[in-house]
Amino acid sequence: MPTPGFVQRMAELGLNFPAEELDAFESFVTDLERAASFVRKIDRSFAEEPSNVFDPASVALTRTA
Amino acid sequence: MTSPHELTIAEAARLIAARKLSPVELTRACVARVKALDGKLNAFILLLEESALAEAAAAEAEITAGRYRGKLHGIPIGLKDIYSTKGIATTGHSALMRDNIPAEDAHTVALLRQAGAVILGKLSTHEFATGGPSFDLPWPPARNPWDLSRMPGGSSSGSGAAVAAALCPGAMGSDTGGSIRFPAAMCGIAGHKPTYGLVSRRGIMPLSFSLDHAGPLCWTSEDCALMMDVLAGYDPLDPGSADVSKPDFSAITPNIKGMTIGAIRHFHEEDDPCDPEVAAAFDASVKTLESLGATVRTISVSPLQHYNDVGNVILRAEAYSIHERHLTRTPMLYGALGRRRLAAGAFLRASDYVSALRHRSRLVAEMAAAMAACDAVITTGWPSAAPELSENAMVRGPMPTMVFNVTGSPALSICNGFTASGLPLALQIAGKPFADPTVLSIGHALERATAFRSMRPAFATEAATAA
Repeated sequence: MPTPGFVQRMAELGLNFPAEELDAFESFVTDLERAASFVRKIDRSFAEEPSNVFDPASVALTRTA
Repeated sequence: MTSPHELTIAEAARLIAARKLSPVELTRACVARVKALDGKLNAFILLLEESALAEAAAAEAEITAGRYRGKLHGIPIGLKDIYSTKGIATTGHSALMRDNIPAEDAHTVALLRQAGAVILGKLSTHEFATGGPSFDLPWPPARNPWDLSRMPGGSSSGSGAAVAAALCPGAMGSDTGGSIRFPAAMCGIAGHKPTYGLVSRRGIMPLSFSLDHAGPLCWTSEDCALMMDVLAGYDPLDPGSADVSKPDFSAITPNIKGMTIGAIRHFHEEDDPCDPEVAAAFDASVKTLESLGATVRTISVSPLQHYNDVGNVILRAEAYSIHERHLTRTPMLYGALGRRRLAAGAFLRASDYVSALRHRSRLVAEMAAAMAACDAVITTGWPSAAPELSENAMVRGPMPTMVFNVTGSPALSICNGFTASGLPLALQIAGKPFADPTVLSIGHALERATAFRSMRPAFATEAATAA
């Protein structure tokens, strides 16, 4: 059974899936939230912030070979 | 002569250019293969028999008239069914889009047509390149020709299965976390994820704007290079396209003497321990590289899980932004797996997505530094051989492929031997940005130095004989 809180969160997000799918969905979301908690914990200095936008033409992705 | 369907693109192109093989004969052979085998393989959603034979006849007429366009002229190619095809259904393997008839070809499809390739058909995929393998969609999931009870990888599942079973010599796939390289690994073929920005994604159904890559799956690395020579190039209408000069794909060579290759061992030895047969095959490939004159050094980067966490947060956030409208209004038009994989991003915070992008730049810089003293790096292609085909088949640990979606680096999966039970194993080779020809050269060298390209799935040979 999914946790009551999970069903409530789904409703708030406008998601309405069949009841038999909710356990698997909650499990998938739980793993994604573990990944999100990892990125939340990473410390960065303000000095790094100017490089924070991913740009395929950035220094790291220009021709180096 | 080898049967037409068993030819690589390079072999077929040489014969076609010399007018010793007819594109019509080659296309007919592929059509016959699809009709004989695909009832069990499920690699094709739509076989374009009539138009493919007409395109092959047109190619033959041009070549006979002395207007040979190049190595893909008259070669049958399959398209993952997320590539738009003008006037031809493009479904994403989903009920949601089963009536979608695009008005234009994807840019890459147009490039293939300009090169004279024959579009053979539309291939199975996990729903919208993420929700699979699924059994509740309008078409069944593709199966692995090495063992029909096993999955062919995904999401470019039909592309991997079709090429391995010799239904077509080349196919197009897409790769957001490994969706070209995973099926290449499970099906024992070559699959190349190009450098981010090198191949246009315009006209291909998106999954994650900043992680999506389009690229080829073929029997060999050499064939992937032939397809890349046509596919690579700047497209001003794809905002992710890189305005750089096209790498020289005609320069790929099996001579890798003097190259330095970094081996990222901690991914499969510590971070997510792989099956023993995969580790043994990896060690054997290191020895082969050294025997070819390369120097192999062990290098380290961040743990595999870090790359996967960053990649998954970005992927799920971007995918939900694409599918939110349909997931909240018509969720039952998706399969169950597609619904939950595409909707999970709804639970992320905006700051999670931004934080993942912030850490991504750090991982890109880390990989650039790790590769600075190397020509390329190697990892295992996948931590196991193909699992049983089931909805839970994708559930396992972090993927070695996702690393190079996060960094945007070129990455190739090649066949790296077989398990004792005859299932393919894989090696992943990745390189510096836009050094795709170097990566393909290393794959080409390994394929030439081993006997792994001499084996085709028994299903593909036995069933064809019976038919």
